Amino acid sequence: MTRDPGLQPERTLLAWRRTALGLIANGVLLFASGHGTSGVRTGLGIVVVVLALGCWAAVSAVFRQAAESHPPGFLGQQRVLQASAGLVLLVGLFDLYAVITR
Amino acid sequence: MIPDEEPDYRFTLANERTYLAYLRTSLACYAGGLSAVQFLDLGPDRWPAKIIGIVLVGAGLVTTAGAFRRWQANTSAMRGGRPLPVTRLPLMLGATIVVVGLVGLLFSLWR
Repeated sequence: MTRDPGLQPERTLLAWRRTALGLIANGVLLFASGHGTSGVRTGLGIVVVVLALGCWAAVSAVFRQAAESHPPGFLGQQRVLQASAGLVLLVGLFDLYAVITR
Repeated sequence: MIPDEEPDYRFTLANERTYLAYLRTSLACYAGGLSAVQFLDLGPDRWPAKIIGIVLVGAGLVTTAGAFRRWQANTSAMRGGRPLPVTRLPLMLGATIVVVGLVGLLFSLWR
């Protein structure tokens, strides 16, 4: 397989970052929905924002590392995608809880 | 049986981006559902906003799970050299968003 120094890996990294931003937005909304009414929702909001920032940092670090050594198919690993789907599902369940208890 | 082979990484990355686009869509559904409950003023009782919120967050949850299954199905199809599987996920999303939008509009006009 030929190495292509094209923009595909970069676009994929940006897609991950946009997704992390979406997570941050959800965390902020959760935080706002909990403010002054429920400590649990505020706490869940903080947890989601922290997880999203961690996701951003991890993806950036993996990208930098892989850009130096490995071929750029690096992010498409079953476990990484499983973990991200799990994280987003978790955030969705938090949001469902916030919507129901609101 | 065609032996499994590693697909061109550009296709792998494209598949991954599609998956991430679905994740963002589900995150937008969650955010929309939360916002509906938080900001929609549909009169003294909360239930219309609550139903809209629950439907949107539910659609988001289905999209998250569906996105992962679709990524898996695409991966195995590419490895096996088979055509990509069809999906009803966009239909489900489109229908949900249209219905929720119409219901929201009706409530706003009715008020």
